[in-house]
Amino acid sequence: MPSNPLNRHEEYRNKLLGLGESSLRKNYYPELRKHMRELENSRTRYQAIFNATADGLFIHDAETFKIIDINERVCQMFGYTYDEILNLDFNKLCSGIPPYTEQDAKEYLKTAIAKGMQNFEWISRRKDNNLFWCDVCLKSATIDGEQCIIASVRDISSRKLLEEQLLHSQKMEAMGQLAGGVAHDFNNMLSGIIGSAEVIHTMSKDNDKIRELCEIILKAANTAGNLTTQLLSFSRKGTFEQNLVHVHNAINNASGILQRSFDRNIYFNLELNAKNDIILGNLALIENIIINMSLNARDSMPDGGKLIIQTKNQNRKADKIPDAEDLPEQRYICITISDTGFGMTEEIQQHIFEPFFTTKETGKGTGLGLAAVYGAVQRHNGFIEVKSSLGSGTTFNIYLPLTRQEKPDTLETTSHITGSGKILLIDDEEILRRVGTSILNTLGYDVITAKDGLQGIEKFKNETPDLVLLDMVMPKISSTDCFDTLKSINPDIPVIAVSGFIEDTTVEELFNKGLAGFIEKPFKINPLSQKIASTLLLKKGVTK
Amino acid sequence: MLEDLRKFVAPEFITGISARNRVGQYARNLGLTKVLVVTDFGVHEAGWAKEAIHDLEEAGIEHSLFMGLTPNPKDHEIHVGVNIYNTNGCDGIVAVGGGSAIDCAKGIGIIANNGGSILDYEGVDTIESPCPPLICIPTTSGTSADVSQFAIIRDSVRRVKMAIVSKALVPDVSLIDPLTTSTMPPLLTSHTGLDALTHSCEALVSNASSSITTMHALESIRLIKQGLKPAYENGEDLEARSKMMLGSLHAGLAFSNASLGAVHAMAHALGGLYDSPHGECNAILLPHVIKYNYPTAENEYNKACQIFTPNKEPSCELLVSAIKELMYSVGVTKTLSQIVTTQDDLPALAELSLKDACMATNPRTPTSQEIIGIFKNAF
Repeated sequence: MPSNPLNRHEEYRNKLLGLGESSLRKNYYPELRKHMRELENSRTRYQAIFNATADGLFIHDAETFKIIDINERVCQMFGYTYDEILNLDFNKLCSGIPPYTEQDAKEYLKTAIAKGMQNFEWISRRKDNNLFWCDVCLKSATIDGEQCIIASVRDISSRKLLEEQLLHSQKMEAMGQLAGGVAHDFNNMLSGIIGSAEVIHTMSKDNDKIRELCEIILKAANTAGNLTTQLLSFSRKGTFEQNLVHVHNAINNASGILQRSFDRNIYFNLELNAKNDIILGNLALIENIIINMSLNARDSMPDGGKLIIQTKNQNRKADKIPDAEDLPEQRYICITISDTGFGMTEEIQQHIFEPFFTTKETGKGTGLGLAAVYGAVQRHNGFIEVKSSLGSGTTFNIYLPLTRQEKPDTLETTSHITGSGKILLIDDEEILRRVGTSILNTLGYDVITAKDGLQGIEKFKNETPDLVLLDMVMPKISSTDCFDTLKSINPDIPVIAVSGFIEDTTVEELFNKGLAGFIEKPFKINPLSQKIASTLLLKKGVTK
Repeated sequence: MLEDLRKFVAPEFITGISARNRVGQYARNLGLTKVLVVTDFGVHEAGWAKEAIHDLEEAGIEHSLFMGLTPNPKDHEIHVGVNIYNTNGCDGIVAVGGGSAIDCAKGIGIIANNGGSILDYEGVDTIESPCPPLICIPTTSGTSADVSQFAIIRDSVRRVKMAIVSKALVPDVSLIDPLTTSTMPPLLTSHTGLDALTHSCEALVSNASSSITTMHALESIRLIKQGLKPAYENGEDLEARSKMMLGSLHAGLAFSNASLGAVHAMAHALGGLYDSPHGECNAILLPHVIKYNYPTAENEYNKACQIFTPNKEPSCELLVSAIKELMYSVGVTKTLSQIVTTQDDLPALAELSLKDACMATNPRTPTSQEIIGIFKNAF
């Protein structure tokens, strides 16, 4: 400031006149407009983020719990429009089933205000009255100076379904392991019984009484064998010979058997509309599926009704087969078996594929029918779905993938063939070694036995057999290692694998290495004799 | 007639009985939600602040009350008010009272939006951001703070009155209701009335005056001459009160735009040092400053003189004696010796006077010795 009072006064006067730049009255409209634009941008940004989230967002008044605002995801999730939700009775969004009622929801809201963030799973109701699981997170917040609660709602119905499916599949897997293990041991016992009975039967040509008793033993043992076959089918561990199969042939074969077992009051009809019905699979298993399902349908209609079996081709994408997201994209044949019987509750539907689960009276059902169907469908890389409700009948849809190959193979054989030569039988079960020796002796062969792979290799070196029967599940060294050693000693030696319990891949692997054939346990004299005879014949041919 | 560049600023104002009752309507129109009502204890007791609060409540506007101010508002009082304003989330101010309440409200407004200390804003055009909306209901007819761009705050440490001058200090609305002055005691009526007379006399002769300010100044003198004595003698004489209210308004419009002069510069120095009533100091000094200024502003003073003594040849003596007569008639008979205890203070008072912004527009530029001389004449 100038020290001269006159200069200072001049400066003061000029300022007081108010004509200087800094003395002008300011207009704050441009600044206001700038802030308004920023506010608008901020609002737009908020709306964009608010609506971009995959979760539904509700803003509730903290006092009345009334819904003040929602994002777009809420409308998609619940099926209401924005205005509808804002004017909606809160109750309509709750399932209403305790503990998922409006009152329960309000308790959570109160707790969120009193104690802070709340996270819980909840069952909500859509506009179409469908219920769905969601994960809810409640947090109190101050918006525009008012206390609110922000509810973040995530639709977890898919996750819940997957969890249920996972639990179910884990349970089925565990049951499969159990069933497979039991069936394997059981099969070995049956092999002893059947083999011995067949030998006694062959040796007792002059004694009708003994032959009759042998036949009773064989009939009972074969029935028991069928049970183990079904158990193995469920566990997917039985032997599985794959051919090209016309599904329609399987259905026609099965319906021929079925029609004889149906009363007249059951209307049975086939509508086989699939243009392509060729799958890579097992004819007997498909027939078994149809028979099992149809018998169940029959049993659910004691007073008569309709049983329809339909087929059609379905493309996964076009026809949107439910629950098939993680299956490879391909065409399927869908076999639909529907009845007008009792139907089933949701609870029963959860368990129908479990082994030994039955709703039939004691003695009327083994509980293995649908378990075997389930296993068989799985073995064909297919899947099965059930639609049913009490009083409205049941519909099963079985989806089996179609193959690109065109003509099914056929293979049929009949009686047993005798022969000669030296056979090495390697099996860890003593009873099977003894039965096998008897059968092979009966067929005219000399037999050397070994209790494991190591002993088998030793005897193979010393005795030079013409053929080896090799059990596929043994202690000490694996059948594959044993097979490799035998082949390294003599590449031309024919080896036939024997098992009732083997992964297809192992057999396939051995076939690739020159396995001569495969025999299913329990031994049956005819197929065994045919396989050995044809193998030795082939060996001689090759040798020649 | 060609004039130099001049500016004229004024708030929106309503005059007349019941103008004060528009406070709710105006507060709502300004978009206010919670106002700080600034008033002093006396005005609150008289009921004017209570009435304003009632009107605000009727309009749905919340309020906080600040009464912690004294005559010649102090810097620390401003900061207490700012604290109340901010703590309560106010968005506007309603001042109900005389110059002290309105200047205090202006001070609170400055700090509320600009921060810092009120002492930072001494001088002209020092305020960067505008103040919050300010509605004034004046209850005295003299200071004209309700229409002016001035705020006078006392620096309690330096013991000086400092002037803050800015367009930002022109209130948004002034509700000028003569009824509010009916509760003023006679002495306050005379002090504020003579303050208004000093405003118009100084604006009249200011070297920053214009024809517009001169017009307002002369009209102010005419109204005060008519209204002051009857209002002093009968406070409930509403006609006299109305004349004084309008006289004060005209004086305010005049001095707010033409500024003041030596009387105010010297009175500010006195008020700072002795905390004596502003109006009374002005009244004591006015005749002596007129005598000093007369040679420089003879024409303007003569116009004033003709209002007091219309049928006589105007002169300095005539004007001074008319003003003194008016002063005595309203009970102001003190001399400076009754305020300033010792003449030893006069050089310091003279220095302060020369530094005061009001001195810049005095028609004659005095020296320090001349100021001391004027002070001595007033003893």
